[in-house]
Amino acid sequence: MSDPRTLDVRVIPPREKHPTIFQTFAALKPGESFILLNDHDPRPLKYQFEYEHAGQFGWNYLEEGPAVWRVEISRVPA
Amino acid sequence: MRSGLSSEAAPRATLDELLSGAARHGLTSLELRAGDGHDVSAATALGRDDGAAAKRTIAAASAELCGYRDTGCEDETALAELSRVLECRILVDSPAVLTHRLGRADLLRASGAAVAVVVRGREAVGDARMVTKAGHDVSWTADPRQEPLGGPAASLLADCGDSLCHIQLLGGGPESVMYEGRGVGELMARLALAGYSGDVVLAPSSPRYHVLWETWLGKRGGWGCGSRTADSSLVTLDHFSLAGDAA
Repeated sequence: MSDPRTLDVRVIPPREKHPTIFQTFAALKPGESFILLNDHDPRPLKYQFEYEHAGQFGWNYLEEGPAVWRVEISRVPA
Repeated sequence: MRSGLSSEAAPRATLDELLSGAARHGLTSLELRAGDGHDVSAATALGRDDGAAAKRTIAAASAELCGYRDTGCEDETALAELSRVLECRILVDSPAVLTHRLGRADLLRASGAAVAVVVRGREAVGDARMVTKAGHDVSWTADPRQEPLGGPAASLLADCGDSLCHIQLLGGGPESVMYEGRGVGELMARLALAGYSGDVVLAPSSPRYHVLWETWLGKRGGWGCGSRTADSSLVTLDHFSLAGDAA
């Protein structure tokens, strides 16, 4: 199993989405990343990351709609 | 990981309608169940031109066929031909008894088909061990109505490794809001952290939701990000084997 780590949150019930994303982020080691797959621009999530994990994460859009948004979220190396 | 759509979502839909509905929701793989309205069948494959035409139609939509769900009604030799022509796995979902399914999978493989054997329900983890022991790939039908999905997901990923190649997630898509607290988030997190490279295919949990699915497939959009109502108590990865161990 060597695919890029992809977290497709489209199928996750709404109230579980952000907790799932943050727990996935918490399981990363410094320098590791995953690709978030969503059906809209997850800008509110980025604001939440900036508030809760300032300076600890990387955010890189890989695809921006119209059907799918892909964002690489990484844990900044220590 | 590829996200896809099962023809079970809209059994009367044509292949074109399924492909356009999948594209509307950014789903890049398609699972076809034998007997649904897509008109792809073992008989189609035996008429090689028809099989090749179906393959071209799918490729033109920038999609891939990730599996053909065998319901036990078609001849093994013809199914093997379908597997070759369409370059897809036969998902052996019949007969009901596992040892009989394994026997059918053996016959299909001997005829040259790529196969995965379907496991489901509370026996899924134990059955999957038998499937991998028999040298076959595993297709898991994950049903959040039956039990929380996080535990079985962890066991299947640990036991099956790369043999776990296909997951049919019941109750995704327009139903997803109904399965809060049933481990769907944990399942997706575990797949992500394990670097799962197979397919996750969405299907209805019950035929009574077909109208809901057909409506959903006909329009773009999701259910919102959920940030206003997020509830962290619904997701627990405390017992998660950490990223480096899982990958």
